[in-house]
Amino acid sequence: MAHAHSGGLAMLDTLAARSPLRGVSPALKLLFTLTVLFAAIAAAHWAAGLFVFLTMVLAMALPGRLAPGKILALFCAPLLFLVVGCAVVLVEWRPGGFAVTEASALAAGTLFLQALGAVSCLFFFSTTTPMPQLIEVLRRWKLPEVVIELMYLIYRYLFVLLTVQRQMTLSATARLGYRGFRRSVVTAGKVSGNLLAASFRRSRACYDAMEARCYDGRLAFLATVPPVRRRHVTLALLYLAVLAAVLVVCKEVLPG
Amino acid sequence: MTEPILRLEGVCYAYPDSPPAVEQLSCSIAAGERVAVMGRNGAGKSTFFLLCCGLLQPQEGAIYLHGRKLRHHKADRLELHRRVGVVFQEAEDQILSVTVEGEVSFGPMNLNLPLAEVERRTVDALAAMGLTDYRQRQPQFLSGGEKKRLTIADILAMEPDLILLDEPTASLDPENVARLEETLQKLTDAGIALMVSTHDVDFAARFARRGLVFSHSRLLADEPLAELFGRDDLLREAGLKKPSYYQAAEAMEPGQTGYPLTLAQFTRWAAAHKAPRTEGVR
Repeated sequence: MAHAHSGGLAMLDTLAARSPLRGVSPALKLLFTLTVLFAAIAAAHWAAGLFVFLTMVLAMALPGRLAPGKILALFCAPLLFLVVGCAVVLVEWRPGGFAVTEASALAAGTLFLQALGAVSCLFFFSTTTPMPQLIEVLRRWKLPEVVIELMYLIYRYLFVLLTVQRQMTLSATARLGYRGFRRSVVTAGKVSGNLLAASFRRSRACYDAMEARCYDGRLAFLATVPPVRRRHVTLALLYLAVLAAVLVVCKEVLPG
Repeated sequence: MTEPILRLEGVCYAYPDSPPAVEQLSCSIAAGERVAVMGRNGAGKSTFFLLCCGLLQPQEGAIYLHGRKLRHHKADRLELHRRVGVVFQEAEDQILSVTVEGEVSFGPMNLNLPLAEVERRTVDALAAMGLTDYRQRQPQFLSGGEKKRLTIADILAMEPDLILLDEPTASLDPENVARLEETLQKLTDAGIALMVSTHDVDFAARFARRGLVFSHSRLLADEPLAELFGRDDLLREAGLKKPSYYQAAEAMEPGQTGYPLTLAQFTRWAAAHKAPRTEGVR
């Protein structure tokens, strides 16, 4: 696997390509995820966020067969961002100094769990849906052709250039190019410059290869996406019904 | 007499503000032929390939496809792209789509074929290259050898008469080179002419009967490999060495002709040239 270690994006890509849920219709998954995400945000209740977070992590771990360590690794970066962001809400400026009140704690907790729920929705979708399937769904949903073509090309060449960048960085490291701050900055600049030149060279070669296959200005490919199955629709509707019930109960019973 | 698939007559081409990349180039390739194109870097091999597949237009001379002179028209250029496919050296330069299936279907889709025909060609090309199980995979998850086979499947799906392969063995391990040779044999069996640009003379000797040698933008030789590797002056001028089995046989019996080029030929040659056993000698 050429790009298995080239960072978060590549990790998501690898997880999606191996996910047992990649056979579920991407259109259904996208609709489902967006619905749950907006419900979690619109509910504006900490319990709704917590419920969505827990169920999405469970879905990633059980039917998605993602190891707990992988899930934790995925959440590390957003968690750090959320903790810092919510700390600002948690602490209030009062005459005499900073203070944490019951209201600010509730607001910070709600914000934290809402955001966590929303992030878990996105992770559920991105770890179970290979990017080609998503692009094809968007094409079928009549997104402008130019946007689709750009998505195809950017996605494809992201990995090609990531590999080139990794090789250049390794080569520079082997020649002590990252020894010391000043030298590291200079080397990083040179690697970026070379990457730009490499991407221009690649784009010319790619265009030649496209022309050699009778390219006439429109990118067209054969693409198959998993069909919508009744069982999956039933499960999604069942989940949404439970989520709705949880929202109603939370609003009535729990403070928020 | 059957017309060759492709014939170049007095073709010249120079890139802007540069000396000629190819000069007075004349040669042809017939159906089912296997030709090795050799020479130093910058000798004109790549430009020759780009001219053959229609990505460059000759500035002088003419190109004939199945006996018909091609004009500088879009329709003729498309016809040349369709009949003469090119597999680029760097697979990453060629692979465009985000799935294997999408990649192979790109050419047939551009030919505006009905979807059923695109599907058939895609399935057939993937099967021919042993990639049927990879149909829904993403190219970045393929190994180097698999990517090379994918790029050949790309071209095969266009159903060309002639395939040009630029340095197909570069960066492949021996196992993948052996698989590639099997693949090329399948293409020959299917009646497709093949022209391979290579620096690997051992591979050229196994692959082809005929060789084109380029040096300083000119075609120095167009002849059977067995004769070509016997011309020391030519090899020196083109910066080529002889195949390993040729060198071994020449070292064993200098001053002969008709040295072997491949292992099979060497085995036969060694058996025929084995010194007779002398009774009583230990």
